[in-house]
Amino acid sequence: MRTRLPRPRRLAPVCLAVAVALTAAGCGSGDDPASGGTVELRFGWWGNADRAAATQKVIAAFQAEHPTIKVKGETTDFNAYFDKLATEVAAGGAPDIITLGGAYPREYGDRGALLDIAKVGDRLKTDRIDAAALGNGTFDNVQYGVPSGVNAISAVLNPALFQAAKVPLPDTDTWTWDDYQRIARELAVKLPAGRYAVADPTRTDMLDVFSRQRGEALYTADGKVGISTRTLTDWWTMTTALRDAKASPPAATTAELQGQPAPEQSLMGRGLAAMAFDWSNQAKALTTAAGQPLELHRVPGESTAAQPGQWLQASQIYSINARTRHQKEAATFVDFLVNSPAAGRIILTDRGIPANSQVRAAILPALSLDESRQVKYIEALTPKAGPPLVIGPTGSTDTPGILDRLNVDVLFGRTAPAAAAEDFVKQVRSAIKE
Amino acid sequence: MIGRTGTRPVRAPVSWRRRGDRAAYLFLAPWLLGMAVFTLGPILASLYLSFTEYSLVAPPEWLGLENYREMLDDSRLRSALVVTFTYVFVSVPVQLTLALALAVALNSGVRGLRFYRSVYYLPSLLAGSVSIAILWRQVFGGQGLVNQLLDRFGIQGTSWIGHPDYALGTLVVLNAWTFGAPMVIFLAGLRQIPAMYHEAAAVDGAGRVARFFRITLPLLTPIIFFNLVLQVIDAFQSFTQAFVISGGTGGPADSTLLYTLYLYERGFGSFDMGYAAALAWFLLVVIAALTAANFLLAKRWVFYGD
Amino acid sequence: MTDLTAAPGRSRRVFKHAVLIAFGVVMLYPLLWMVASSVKPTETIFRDPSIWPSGSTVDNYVAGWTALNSPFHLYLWNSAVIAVAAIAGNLLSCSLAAYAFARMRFPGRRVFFAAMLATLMLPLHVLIVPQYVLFSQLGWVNTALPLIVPKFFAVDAFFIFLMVQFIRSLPRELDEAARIDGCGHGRIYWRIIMPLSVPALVTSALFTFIWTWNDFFSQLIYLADPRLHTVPVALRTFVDGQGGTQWGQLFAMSIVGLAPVFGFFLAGQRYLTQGLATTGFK
Repeated sequence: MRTRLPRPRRLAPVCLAVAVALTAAGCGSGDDPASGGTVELRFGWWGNADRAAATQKVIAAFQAEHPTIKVKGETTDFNAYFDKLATEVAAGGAPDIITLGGAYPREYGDRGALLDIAKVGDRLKTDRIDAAALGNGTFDNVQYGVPSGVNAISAVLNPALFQAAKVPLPDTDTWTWDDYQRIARELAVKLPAGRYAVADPTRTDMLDVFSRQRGEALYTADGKVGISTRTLTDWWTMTTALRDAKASPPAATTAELQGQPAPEQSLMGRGLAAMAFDWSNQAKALTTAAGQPLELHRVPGESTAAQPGQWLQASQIYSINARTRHQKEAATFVDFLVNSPAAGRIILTDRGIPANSQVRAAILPALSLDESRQVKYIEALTPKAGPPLVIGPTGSTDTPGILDRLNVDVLFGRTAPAAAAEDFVKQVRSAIKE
Repeated sequence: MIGRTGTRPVRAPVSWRRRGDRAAYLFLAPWLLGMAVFTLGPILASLYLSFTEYSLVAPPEWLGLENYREMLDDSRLRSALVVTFTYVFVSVPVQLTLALALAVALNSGVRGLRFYRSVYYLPSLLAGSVSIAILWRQVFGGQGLVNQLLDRFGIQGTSWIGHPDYALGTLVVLNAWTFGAPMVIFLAGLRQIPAMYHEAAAVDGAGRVARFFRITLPLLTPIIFFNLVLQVIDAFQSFTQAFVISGGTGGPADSTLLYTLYLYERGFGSFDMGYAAALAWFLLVVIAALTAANFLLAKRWVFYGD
Repeated sequence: MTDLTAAPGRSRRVFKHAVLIAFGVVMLYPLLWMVASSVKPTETIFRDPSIWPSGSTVDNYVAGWTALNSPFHLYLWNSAVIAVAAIAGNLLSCSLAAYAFARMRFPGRRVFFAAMLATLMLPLHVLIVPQYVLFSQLGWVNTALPLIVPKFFAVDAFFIFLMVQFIRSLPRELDEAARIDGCGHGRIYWRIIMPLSVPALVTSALFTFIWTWNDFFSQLIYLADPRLHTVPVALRTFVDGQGGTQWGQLFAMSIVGLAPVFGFFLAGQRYLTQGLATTGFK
């Protein structure tokens, strides 16, 4: 049997038709204004069942205030959310209000998929939103989204394990990277088998912190790789030393965890690591999973650094689809999400510590112990944080994958830290088409 | 071997044959329509996109052969090909042998056939679910079942999923674990063999083993062939299991980076759907070549009742 | 089974069963672990990974059933509707095409057959976007139509090929005899080939059910409205990579979601065994 491919000559008209369909497929997201002047909005986000339930409540509260606007929620888990979003955007059928995070606002914004918030500034106020977090949604002076809340990377410590090893908790206001390593080694010797002093600390946000402390950054403001191979080499020299001292788990264990980011499965979440770096909004899930109280602290090296490496990060960004037919209504809804104390009292800290100071004050009394700890951590950090983070340029969503691959090579001893450092810079440059 | 016996019909008159052509197209009509409306468009679109830069967010831009040229010096593509070929050539024979062996064992008059068949099929029902990632770690993770067993013998295991040398092996095992589909197809094939053939052979004094090799196996060859062709095609496109187990990364260190995983990562992760489409068409050529080879070889060993 | 009373036969049978059962336990270990986890409180699932639950509870089933936007039976119903429609579509359209490929000679047969197989070879991920564009142009997004209608047009080449192989393994003498008796293709297809292809049809129905039931991504993108969600889509909303997944409820509802497929398999396999061997084909 021969498998013949269709002849190209016959393909040409079809290709053309398809191309036209693909480019012309942008005509709005479907819904004509329904009868009676009601407008229907679609709102997409990712998350678990609890978040979905809370969000539905917020939607109900919003609809009560704005009877002419109906909001339909669409949700799924993180990975599937972004695949679905990309597909819908390609067909011109994305939701009117899109939740984004990390480098995604830029990936979509730079390509023209998101509305400039300034255009709807009369409906959507940003004056009470934390400036640093607001910066996470701004590129080339265009505001592509509004932060749902604020977040920060932190050192998560498990006091029970420190106690079991009879090692005192560090003074995290002043600790340095040398202290971190010394404590890790000490814990490694004194902790029972199967427990680790630290989870492997390599992750892109920690490289951001580490390089910012040295006056560099993962990316420069003009969209290039900013971290030096020297800094990367120092980082991996440290982590391989931790591995050799058995302070961090064997390479295979670290590699196994790379693909499973759920806090319940992490070493910290299983109560198996004394120290780890994670985002502050993970604290609640980690504590619940570990069944032990955990503490949030500043990361090492902040007090002695050239500049503090930590920053306040927008935990999620609400953006508006550039193709929405209902810009004003969508803006009204986002305004309600971020600026209304009523919405804040339902969402609490689920989408980060509210970036609007008024909302933050309004929810304080309703918070659990863990949640108010998060708020305290963020408030204590705010005056001590470094400059706002430079969000990665288009293509930088590949960086975590590149880092994970090289990190496994380094931990398994297949690549030396210096060689991996060179390789990292090379691969990231190619991903962001520098 | 059963030959073509019986009366050969007289050559059908021309009018009957022409009516036959028309009837054939009637039978094919739903498929032809579906092909034209639902299948061909998207396939041709993907071909067109393979010559463009297409970020999904912005409209495609014509690139010519650039994507295909880029494939020539894409080192991750090379490692994805090595991983995929290794996977296909190991896991397909393993899975099919297991499926055929179990099907034959179950078909040989074991009591409780239904019970066993159901038990062996259960894993296949689970294969694509979100839970499989967690379940597989309970078996092959650092603290999984395998290591607990090894521990009894004083051997200290590693995390089989986390070790670049073994991670692909766990995927082969996972694939073998879900041998239910080919097994059921084999069983249906075994059931479809007319009893009269076995009866006739038994009358002729053929033993069990002889009957298996002289009747069962030849008559089952169309089904073996079907399973082989489909499992090869399927294995090349294997995605879900590798995706859920590595969390979509193909890790550790690209050791489980199956071809479609890489394609997916480029298309949806890096917003490079044009390149992903080029990858897809290259894969199509590879699979088509292997399938064609399969069909050519089939003439030597597949026996049809017609 | 003519040697039921022979002693050596018995010990061989015992051995055979021992091997089959041992093999079954290995096969089922992950599943048993999931069942065990579904009756544990969520916090202890990963902290205490042993298969024996220290205390059991049905809380996960009770809470999981209503944890999502709608009660879980709505998702079961949505999945069932799509699966049943897909089965009807596949059986009808694929068997027609398969009959033509297996039993008829017509111009273009080889080309069509190759084209049919080729449609299996292109990875799904590059087709998703153009397909989605197509269906959104048709205005079918947010309905089950994109998941059902194509099945009535034999887009699942897998089943065409499966049935072709089965039909080709049937002795041709049968239809030739019928043809001499004056039967046209329609009657040969309906009266002779279809009844003899029950195992193939049941197999196709089974796989259609299972694959439709487990299919996640296409159901996710076409059924955006939460009230249209199916079981796999609903199960995903238990998971959040960023924290706070109710694993116990996820496992419990996964088992609930598994039950209908398994039930369908149990029901279907009765017909699988009623192949030619038992229907007294002479």
